[in-house]
Amino acid sequence: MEQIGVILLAGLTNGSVYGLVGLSISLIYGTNRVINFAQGEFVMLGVMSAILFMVTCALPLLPAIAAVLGVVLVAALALEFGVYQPLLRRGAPPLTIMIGTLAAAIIATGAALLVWGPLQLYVPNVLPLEAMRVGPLITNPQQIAIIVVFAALLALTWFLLYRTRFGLCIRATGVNARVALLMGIRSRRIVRFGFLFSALISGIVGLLVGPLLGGQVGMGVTLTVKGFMAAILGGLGSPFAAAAGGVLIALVEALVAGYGSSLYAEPIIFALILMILFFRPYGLLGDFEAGRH
Amino acid sequence: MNRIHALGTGIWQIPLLILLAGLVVPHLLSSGFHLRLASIVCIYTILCVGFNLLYGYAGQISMGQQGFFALGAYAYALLTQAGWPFYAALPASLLVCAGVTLVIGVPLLRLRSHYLAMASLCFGLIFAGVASRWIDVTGGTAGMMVPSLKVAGHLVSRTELYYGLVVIAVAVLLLQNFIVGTHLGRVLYSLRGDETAAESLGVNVTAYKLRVFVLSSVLAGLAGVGFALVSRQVNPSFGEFPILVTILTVSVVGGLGTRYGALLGAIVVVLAPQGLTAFGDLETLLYGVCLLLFLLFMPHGLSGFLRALCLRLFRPAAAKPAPRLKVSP
Amino acid sequence: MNAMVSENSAVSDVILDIQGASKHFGGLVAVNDVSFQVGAGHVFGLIGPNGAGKSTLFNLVTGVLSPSAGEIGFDRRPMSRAPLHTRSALGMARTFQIVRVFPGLSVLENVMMGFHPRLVDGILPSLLRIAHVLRTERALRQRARELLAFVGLEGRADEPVEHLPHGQLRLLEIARALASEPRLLLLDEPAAGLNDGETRHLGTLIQQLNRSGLTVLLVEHNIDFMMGLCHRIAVLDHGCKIAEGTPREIQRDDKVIEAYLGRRASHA
Repeated sequence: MEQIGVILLAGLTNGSVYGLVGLSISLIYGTNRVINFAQGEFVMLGVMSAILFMVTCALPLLPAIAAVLGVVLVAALALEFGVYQPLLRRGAPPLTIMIGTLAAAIIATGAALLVWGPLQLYVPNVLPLEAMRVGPLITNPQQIAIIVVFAALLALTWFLLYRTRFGLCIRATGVNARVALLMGIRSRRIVRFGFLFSALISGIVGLLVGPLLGGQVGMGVTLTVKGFMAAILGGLGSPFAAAAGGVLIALVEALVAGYGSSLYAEPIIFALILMILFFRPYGLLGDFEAGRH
Repeated sequence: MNRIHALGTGIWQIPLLILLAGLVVPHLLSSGFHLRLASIVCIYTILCVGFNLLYGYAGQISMGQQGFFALGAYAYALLTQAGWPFYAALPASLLVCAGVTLVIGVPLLRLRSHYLAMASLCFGLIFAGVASRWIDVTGGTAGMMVPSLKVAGHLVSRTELYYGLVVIAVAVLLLQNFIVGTHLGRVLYSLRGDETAAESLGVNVTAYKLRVFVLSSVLAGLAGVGFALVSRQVNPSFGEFPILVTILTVSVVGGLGTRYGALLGAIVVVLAPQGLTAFGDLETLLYGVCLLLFLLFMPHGLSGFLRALCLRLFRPAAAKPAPRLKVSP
Repeated sequence: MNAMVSENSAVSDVILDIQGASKHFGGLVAVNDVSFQVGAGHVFGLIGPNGAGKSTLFNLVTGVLSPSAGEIGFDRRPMSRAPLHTRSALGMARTFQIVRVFPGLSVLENVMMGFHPRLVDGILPSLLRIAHVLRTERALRQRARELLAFVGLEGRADEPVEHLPHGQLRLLEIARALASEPRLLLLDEPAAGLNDGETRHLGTLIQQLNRSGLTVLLVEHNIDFMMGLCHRIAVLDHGCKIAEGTPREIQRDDKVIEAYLGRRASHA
């Protein structure tokens, strides 16, 4: 009982991280049909700049957090104006833009390498990591914070998408960008919102997850891939399906690691996703997009 | 200049020149290190011709080519370890690649664009994961040694291996030119567009997607065997993300959907870092910047740029800005 | 023209046989139990008001959709389960209502795509017959130029297909369809979006093709165009066939007049 509790909690924590990256990827995909290969790099920048501002510059907590989120938002604008817009202007198809975001990811890693070097760095804790008991479960404040933030960001995204006029515009763009444009929806603003909001989410993830994963400039790719898998598994068409996909992946991962060998967790998950894609090409919850094809 | 005028002609002339140049190269090189670089150019050419046929021409993206690259290398290493001679182990490794592609290709190719990209990336990651973790068979992260190549009792030297790779790379270019220059090329082009239209004209779209996918992974496997022989070892890094980045960079820099983009890109991507090592830590950053700049300013790669340059120099009247080949579907 | 129509109107040799074809989409019945036969050597027209099910029926015949019930026979062969890509080899060729060409290829290369069913299929078989493949390439190019000349596009053979205006793309599609040497040519609203001159040119082309023995089935909005061209016409309304006969019979048919005029009256 105790073991399964620990496993499920660990799964839920990682799932929150994967889920939020998946949600970010799906949000951007929803606004402009581009898969952002640099999403994990936002998390990496969040983690690394937390080290910079909290340890190297020794800023107080709140200004440090603001500075971290500032870095991530600037990176998002750089991605939009340096990669997405120029490629779009030149009529590049979505897959080429995806390769462009991959280039951006390499640039981000390369730049981070110059600043922080290739070594794994210690990341300061925003919250204590001591074990504590919540009912029958053993956990720590960091885990709880991640899960709570996951839930809060999901709720915020839901509110934005379904309870605001702007959210209606985003969803309309997601269903049919051309029609939305004809209806007077300014898609460039929506695309910018997609980049900024998803970068913000990833930056917050970076702040929280640093102490668990450690800080290393190459960590972005793994997170991007996990986020993709989450989005593909759940269904790229809906941010919430993507988040659910992330939780599912992490739970399976934790269960395989807990009861089998952690060595095989990744291959098993990828194989599982591959199999699911064969039966449901648009993801487990992907009817939304499938209907459009 | 129209694609048509290049059809039929030009299938073998330029590859012949490349062959001659490739055979001369070792006489101009001073060190074994440079020979290794020249060999790697051949290997990347083989690998990226496959990717070019699949994505540049047929518009089907696979981000799992590094998986097949590693699969070919591992299959060859394991078979050699089991005592198979070269001439049996090589075709068997390629058959393994073809077999695996057939098995995963049927369901995989039902997916399109991003989904196909991600699912094939999944395959690549599974393979890299298994290769580094199934220690009993693959040697884990340390990998396996690949013995020096012996053909009919003769120990093949590095220079001879290089000659072999040049010949194979040129043969692969010839194969590509034959495909692209005939009806097969038009059929590949039709796959990227309207599938219903292609089917109505009698093209078995599913079968052709599978065929070109198999061909590209066999070429990736062939390149993998070559890399294993040149490196004298295999390890999980063969199937990891940097190889995929290399494939994409070679293809974009050289020019997707062009005949000699893979070769040009391979030359640049192999040689440029030699200059970049002076930059040390800057290397990764510059790699990314180059990839982005090429996407932005040379969407047809060096190949397209050189062609435009030739047109302007030799046929000023015909130099209309009408680039016809799109970078991707 | 009309004299020829009455002579041929007795169906001698059926090439396309549609028996009780139906197509449902969920609860919607798009085509309801339609039967007719197209005789070899005829120009057969399919007309009907908007939403009558013409396009769906056409898609059943071409194989883009498979019928919910009924059978479609081509050349005495049941076709409703035959995969789309096998049909051109059997002698069916089509054009599309919204033109579908292959961007990135030239006009000539687009026509050459039509040769596909008669060429060596597959990469390995092509490699095994390299000499043959390379040799036929030149002959195919010549043949494609002839086809383009036939439809009047010889001057644009080497241009990117993206440069052609709509009317010429229609003609290109016909040339491409002819490249497979079909026995039945299926035209989906070929006159849609053409101006008067282009429509006349199209009518002449179809008549020329028919005179050389080609059977044509066409779906069309433009009734005047159809009356002068077709040997027989079937009329669809609300998914059902309400009439079939020679153009003159159709023009006098009460149900047809009601379907068209009734609707027109209600629209006015």
